[in-house]
Amino acid sequence: MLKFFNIKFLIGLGLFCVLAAVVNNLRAPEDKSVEWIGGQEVLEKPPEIPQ
Amino acid sequence: MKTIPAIFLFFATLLFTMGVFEISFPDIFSLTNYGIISWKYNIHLGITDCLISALLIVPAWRINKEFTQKILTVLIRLGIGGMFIFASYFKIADPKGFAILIAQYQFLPHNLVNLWALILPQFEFWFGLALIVTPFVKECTLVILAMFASFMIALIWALALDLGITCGCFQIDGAQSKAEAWTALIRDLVLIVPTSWLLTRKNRSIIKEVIC
Repeated sequence: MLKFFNIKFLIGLGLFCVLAAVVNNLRAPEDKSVEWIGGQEVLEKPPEIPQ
Repeated sequence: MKTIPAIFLFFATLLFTMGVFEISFPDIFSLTNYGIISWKYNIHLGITDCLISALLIVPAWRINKEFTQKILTVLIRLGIGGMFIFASYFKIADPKGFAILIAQYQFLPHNLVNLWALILPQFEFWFGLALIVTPFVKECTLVILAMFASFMIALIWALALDLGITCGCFQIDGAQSKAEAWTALIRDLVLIVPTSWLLTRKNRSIIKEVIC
């Protein structure tokens, strides 16, 4: 299975994606950026929308 | 002989695209909005379109297998890659909004929500782009299939817990009716089929796929 895929490409692009995520969060406006480790509030479920 | 397969593939592509849109946005892309056909569940129309499109590929395949394979490969790479690029846009632009959406699924541990919200859209964008512009078809397909699997697991989880949230696939809005989670799940199940087929293709650039 490992030989079937180019592992260097997968790892390389994967690491690039992580780097891009870091840069994106640093460049995002303060109201749209998030803390690196953490989560968000779970909102109250709205009433069911009638079909 | 390429003309007849091309005609079949043209209509197959048209029907499949329409089918996916009808499944994804049943309120917008449906003949029932114009009073032509009174079907209550527009998603059935979308699934039917996708099945008919699959049937149209059969005669094209039998007439000229190599040509059909090339065209399908190019179309699927462009379609799936383009869809992931498009889907990633709003998530990259608004990491906090996407993180809030992920939190509503109540699936990931709290401390991983923000990280996932930052990293997943980058994987969507870059692997979607790589599927189109690089020759690494199998590798990109593997990652895209893994993302599809993660979306489906999250949607099944949300439906099982009756969370009543939106998919968050192409937009970030507040919680919506769970019908949207169902349509997103069915759409992903449909799209996994052509995506999986790409694993059988050789690693090659799109240009070489067309020329050679």
